[in-house]
Amino acid sequence: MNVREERSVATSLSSDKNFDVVNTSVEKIDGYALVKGKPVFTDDFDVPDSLIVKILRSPHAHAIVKNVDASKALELSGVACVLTYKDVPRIAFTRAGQGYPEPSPYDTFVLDKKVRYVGDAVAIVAAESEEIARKALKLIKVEYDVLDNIIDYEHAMDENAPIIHDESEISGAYDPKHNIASHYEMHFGDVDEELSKCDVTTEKTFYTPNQSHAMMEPHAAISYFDANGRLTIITSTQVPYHVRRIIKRIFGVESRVIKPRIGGGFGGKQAVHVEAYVTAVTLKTGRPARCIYTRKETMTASNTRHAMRFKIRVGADKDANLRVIDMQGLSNTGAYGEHALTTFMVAGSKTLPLYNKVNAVRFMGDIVYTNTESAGAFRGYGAPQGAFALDCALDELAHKLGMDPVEFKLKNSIREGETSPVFKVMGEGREGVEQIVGSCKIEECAIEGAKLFNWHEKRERQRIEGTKAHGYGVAFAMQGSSIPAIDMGGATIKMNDDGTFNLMIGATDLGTGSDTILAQIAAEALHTSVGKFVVYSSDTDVTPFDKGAYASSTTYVSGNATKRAAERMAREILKAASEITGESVEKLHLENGKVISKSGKSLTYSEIQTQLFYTFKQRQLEVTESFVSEVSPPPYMVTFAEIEIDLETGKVDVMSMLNYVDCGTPINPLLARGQVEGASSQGIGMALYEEHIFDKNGRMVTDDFFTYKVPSRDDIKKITVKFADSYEPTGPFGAKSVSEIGLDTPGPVIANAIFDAVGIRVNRLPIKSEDLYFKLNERGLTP
Amino acid sequence: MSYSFISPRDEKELKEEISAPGSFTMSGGTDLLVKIRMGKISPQKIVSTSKISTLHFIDENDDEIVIGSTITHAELLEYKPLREAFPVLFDAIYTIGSPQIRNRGTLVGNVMNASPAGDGLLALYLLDAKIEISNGDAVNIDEFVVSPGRTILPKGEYVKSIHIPKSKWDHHYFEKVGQRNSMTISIVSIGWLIKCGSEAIENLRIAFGSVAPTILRLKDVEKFSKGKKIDEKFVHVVSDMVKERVNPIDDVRGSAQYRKKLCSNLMYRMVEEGIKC
Repeated sequence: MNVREERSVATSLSSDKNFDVVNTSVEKIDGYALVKGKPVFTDDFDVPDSLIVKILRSPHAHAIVKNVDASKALELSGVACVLTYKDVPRIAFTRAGQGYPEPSPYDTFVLDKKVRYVGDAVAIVAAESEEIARKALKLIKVEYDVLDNIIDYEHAMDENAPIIHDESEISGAYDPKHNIASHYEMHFGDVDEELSKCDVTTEKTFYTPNQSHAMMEPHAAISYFDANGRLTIITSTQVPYHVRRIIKRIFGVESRVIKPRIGGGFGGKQAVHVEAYVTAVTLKTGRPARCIYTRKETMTASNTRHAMRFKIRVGADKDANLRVIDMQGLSNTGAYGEHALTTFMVAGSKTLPLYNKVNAVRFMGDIVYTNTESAGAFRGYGAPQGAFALDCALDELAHKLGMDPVEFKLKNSIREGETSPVFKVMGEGREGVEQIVGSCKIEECAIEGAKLFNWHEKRERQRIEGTKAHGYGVAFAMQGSSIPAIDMGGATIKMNDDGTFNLMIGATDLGTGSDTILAQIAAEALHTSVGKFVVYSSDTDVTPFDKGAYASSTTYVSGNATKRAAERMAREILKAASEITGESVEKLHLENGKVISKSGKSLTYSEIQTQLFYTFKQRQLEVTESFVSEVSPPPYMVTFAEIEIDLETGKVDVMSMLNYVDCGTPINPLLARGQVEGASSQGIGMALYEEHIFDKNGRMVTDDFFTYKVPSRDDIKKITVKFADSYEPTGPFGAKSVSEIGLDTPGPVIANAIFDAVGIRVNRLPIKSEDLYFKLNERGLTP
Repeated sequence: MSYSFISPRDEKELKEEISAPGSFTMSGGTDLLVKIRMGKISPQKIVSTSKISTLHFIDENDDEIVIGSTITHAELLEYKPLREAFPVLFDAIYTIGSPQIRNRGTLVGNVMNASPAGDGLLALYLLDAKIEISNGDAVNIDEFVVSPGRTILPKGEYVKSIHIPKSKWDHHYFEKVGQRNSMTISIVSIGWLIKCGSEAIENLRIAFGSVAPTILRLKDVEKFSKGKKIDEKFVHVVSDMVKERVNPIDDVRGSAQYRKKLCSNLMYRMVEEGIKC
């Protein structure tokens, strides 16, 4: 196959769908409230008589808490309580908000007598005002027995390394005595034998960094007893149902969890952060308690992306057939093992199936504890880490073969109707599921993308001119849509006599627009408009269960649940109309908010529900449906990028980036584009700017936006997003996921473009100007 | 953390308020509030200059432009004659923070913050600006700023205005090198002004930011450049001179070694900019 041939990919839509509401860019249903600054976020809830909760945090990376003397703080007028590890249940749990039983180790306590990173919680203070709470923090005297620490994860398994988790209650960790939270290995075929048969091989080690979610809204929660004494928690979370379950596990108390509008999460809120602290205070004092993290706490004491190292070996024969991939990894889970195993596995399971024609694959490694902020879920969830190593290695292999990397990657990638053994072997924390790929337009993404980007013409250009170098890179990616056979979501639809519907979902809109796209799906199935849906998400006392917003699952899982519920509601409406009109259901159909009969008669939804309320076979039409995925259809993406390097400073600018995406039917093209652009931006941040710098005691120096640089608008320049004409047979109206995949490519595409420009293979993110400058300098490329 | 906040109506009231111990004078607050939040300072009293009408002015005559101490960056950018008279100052101010910061922050605040990375400050060094103090003194900018965060402003006094003498230049340049493109603190910043004679440089001024405790004007390089032609050879020589004279430190933004390299490399921009004289 030669992608340089003048050919086009057939782009016939494989379905006969003519959509009315789906696949249109309707306005976000909460957009106006947000731009008008309406009180929608957790911190906007005014619960009268609330205590303000602050957390006393450890200044040491690793220490035993010998004594906490809070007497001075308690003497301060307005201090309601100071809680230490002696005052909270000693129940080991994981903060990871995952399905039950969680694949993460139970290695965390609300408060412990040992602190494991700078920022770990030592005491909970509750006071009448923030000022008093801050004063009280300063009056608490803590005696520490400071221990040796591990900051660099490459030394976590050293012979004399201190043991970070020596508590007896720990469970589910692989080998805590050697600081190994989790371990994983899989293989098929014999990688060493295959490598020995290859004509061309490449071996290299790649590093990806920690990264902060940097969501606008910090972590926040408020707890109180309602009038009947039921514990209620309002929290900025992606996982309200998991929060309810974990709070029950820790405190043995039933609760109601309300998730208002979330101001961004990116995986950072797929965990229990603040909820346990406010709950402890409300249970102790009986009073409402509110805790809003500062930016510094959000940066240093919540979650970060798992930093990973991969030693990768790949090999191909002289005909450019990729034969073998071997990835040996090491992942830094920080102080606690949240999402330790699963993020590591995703580094393989959401990258390796892309190249399904290999004879042998091995993927293995350890996930280790260190005395740094706990890593957790972060958009991409391991896939960006794996993709950086894999895509860069394949780029290098293509170069060694003297082949266009687009051609090499495309030749070896998966196609519609094919499968990969990796799907079955690797799930999340356990075995995966077999699946045949039902939609895959990677050929369109690569070939049409190359044309759109002018790939072939650009590669003929001079790379170095004067003091500037230009380079052109390509990266391929896949992701998943939900965690198959685990993720479940529900949707309830209730019809009202004014012709509106309540759509109640446990799915958690964290800025993604899921409330809007789920309304679009329901409106499509019920032949009405988005404006007829009153969307409510989510409240564990009101809405049906949903696993939460993670793993690129909401469109696929919650979307399918919503579609099912809407289709059942459609049947209920037809049945009621048939009873009212006396005409058989077969002669009726739904159109534009009405039931129309072949005889020409019509009844509006409003007329039907009004009759059902007051005059005819009285009942409330309401349905609940659930969906659990059997497969996890991957979206695919090919990214092209042009970069410019200033040879006098080493500074890299991403001049343009084209993302050609196969996400099935984009339910809302504008919102889908926003997802890809946002993920690309976060990926550019990870590739070029964002860095956690620690001092020698393990304190994060880059703990604010002054020092931690997320990309600004000027750094993003031009991102183009193009959607392939694709239809996923198992998805709601043909949709797959789109929220995470955009983060997989910026790292490799920028590194590949740098290689293209100046022949330097960068193997570590972020690519700092200074480091690149000295590499350029070594090669004599600087003035 | 608690403090009183006072907003005097005139300069007389201002002078009384700022003489109290623990009082801090605030202009736009874009540096002061950040420092308070970081716990670097704990004021007992903040005295705002924002309501004092006699400090809010831009005056211009044949010899100079005078900028009152409550004039914001945004106001300066909108003041048309500034761009014509001092394009290097315009370019420097344009890179400060974000639009929100420029709407609050003032040029005098940038001077008082006395950061070695101060963007507006660098341009003022190049332009030989003078600081007019409330006691009537007028001090050259490079004598006014002492070290990071420190100036010679006596306690109980305030800055009334900045005087920038008008001077004619053929070329100007300002650049800051940061890891990202905006909202950034420079790893190194550079600015120059060049006046060409018939065949060679008649006059050159050059300054660097973030490479010494204050903005650094390299007067001996300036002297050396007089009468020289700008070509590869010239740039090569001054680039070496620059490397020897800058004295940067290692910090989270970059190493001293990298900064030195940047300073000397940035000299080559003279050739790249196509400056002929």
